[in-house]
Amino acid sequence: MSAETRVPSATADPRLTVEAVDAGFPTSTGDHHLPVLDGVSLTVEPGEFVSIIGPSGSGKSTLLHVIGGLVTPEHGRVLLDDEDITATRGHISYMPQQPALLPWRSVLRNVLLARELAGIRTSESVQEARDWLTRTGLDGFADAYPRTLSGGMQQRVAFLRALLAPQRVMLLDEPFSALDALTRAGMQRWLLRLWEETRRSVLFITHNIEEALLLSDTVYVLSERPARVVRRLDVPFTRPRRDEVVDDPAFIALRRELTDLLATTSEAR
Amino acid sequence: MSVSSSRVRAARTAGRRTLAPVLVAIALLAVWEAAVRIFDVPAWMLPAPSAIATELVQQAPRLGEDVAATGQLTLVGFALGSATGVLVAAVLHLVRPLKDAVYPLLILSQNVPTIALAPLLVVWFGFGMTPKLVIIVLMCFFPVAVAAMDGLRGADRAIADYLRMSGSSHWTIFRVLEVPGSLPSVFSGLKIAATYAVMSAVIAEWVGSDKGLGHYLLLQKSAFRADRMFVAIVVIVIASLLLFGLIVSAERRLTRWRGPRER
Ligand SMILES: Nc1ncnc2c1ncn2[C@@H]1O[C@H](COP(=O)(O)OP(=O)(O)OP(=O)(O)O)[C@@H](O)[C@H]1O
Ligand SMILES: [Mg+2]
Repeated sequence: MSAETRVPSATADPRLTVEAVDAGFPTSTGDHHLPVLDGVSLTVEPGEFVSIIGPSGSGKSTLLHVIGGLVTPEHGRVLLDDEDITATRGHISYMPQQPALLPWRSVLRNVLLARELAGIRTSESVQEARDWLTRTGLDGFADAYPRTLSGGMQQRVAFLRALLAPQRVMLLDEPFSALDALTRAGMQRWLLRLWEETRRSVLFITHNIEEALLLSDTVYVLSERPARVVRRLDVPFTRPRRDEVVDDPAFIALRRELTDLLATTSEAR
Repeated sequence: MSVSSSRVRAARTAGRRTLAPVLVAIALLAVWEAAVRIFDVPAWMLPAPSAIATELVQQAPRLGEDVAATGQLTLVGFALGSATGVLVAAVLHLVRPLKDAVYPLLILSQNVPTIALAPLLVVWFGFGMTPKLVIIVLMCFFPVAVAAMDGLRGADRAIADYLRMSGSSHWTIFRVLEVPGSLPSVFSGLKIAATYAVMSAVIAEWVGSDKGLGHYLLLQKSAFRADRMFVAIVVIVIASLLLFGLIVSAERRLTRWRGPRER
């Protein structure tokens, strides 16, 4: 099966460390500076699922851009194990907030893009991509152009593109935001199973507290812009997680706590 | 919904869309015909459409050589001019400092009336094929170069960011994103160039030639044969439409991914 070919021992995965990163942008007038990240530190252990939640516009996407080398931080470092990868690119697998599919490529060829960029073109890749399209309910769309897909289907294609990327650490920027509640719950369950099978290192951005608690080992809560880490939370529930965990009193208490925390950080502005 | 039924529907809308202008054109021709007959306009001034049609049929056999000459000039000039346009656009796009220096001049130079250079080009290159080709190449070059450059620059930011995060080089982004993404824009440039190409070939032949439709037009003008001048105009319009149609069908084939609404 496809998943087995890409599960090395968990120890092969690198640890991702973000160390006291400050980042910002010049304002549109050019003479000022808009601080976006204020001393953000976090760690994704090998095979760990880490979520980031924070208010809209706080700097979550910017944080992923710093990790991916698209934005150069003013201070701080990004490390993969002991290797400093600050401001260098191509070390991570990435699913952007907009699907960002190539409109002139079929769904299948979009899914294969990350591998192609890494110089991998094999018939096994094609078979693997087709298997995944089937498993995500996209069979029959392999040869369709992205414009003929719904927003949620396009997100799934972008997700598969990241999943098939050869880099071991995955950065996912709100992968399920364009899905309705039902499909979303389905995709969450699906991602949970998949991740528990493959144990890849994941850094996952979401607005959805329940989603973060359901999927993650660790949750980081960011403040309003400029973003600081206001809370780091170890999620205590065992793996594999059952769907009923959301009804667990401890789960409900944690959800309440995070909801209040987010509400106060949003009021503070 | 089946593919064939959607195709039938598309053909039906296309049919409805062409019907109205065709009816208007027929009405205009009828008014023209009637006016010439009623007011007894002399044929050397304005011949009736029916007279032009008869003359077209009679002249057709002896026009072959001229059409071939102008057609060849047009196609070679169009191909050379467009290819240079795309190439220059690509080089300027890839070499940023060069673009900053050259692009404003390129925009400015569009204001130079290329046709007015024709007599000068004859002085420089003589009466052969060269000065005529140079005119057509210049006329086709600018719209294609500018359109291609706009297309290359207008690449989707989100996709470019994705490719960069994934470690793509400038060259990979150019190949995977910018070139295919610029196609729609390049084709609008090519369509403008196609309409210029036939016209500038005819004008180039006015300036100095012993064959071609431009030469034929001048001959008939000195003979006061308005009907034959109209014959030449009809042939030129048909040639222009043919070239335009060729570009449009290539565009359809190569930008199928855009879907009918965006085209
Ligand atoms: N390239 C850029 N240039 C200038 N400002 C930027 C740039 N990218 C982001 N910003 C600014 O940085 C701030 C944080 O943006 P970011 O996209 O990281 O937020 P976010 O937390 O991902 O929000 P959302 O949840 O809505 O996606 C915003 O104020 C935004 O305007
Ligand atoms: Mg974002």
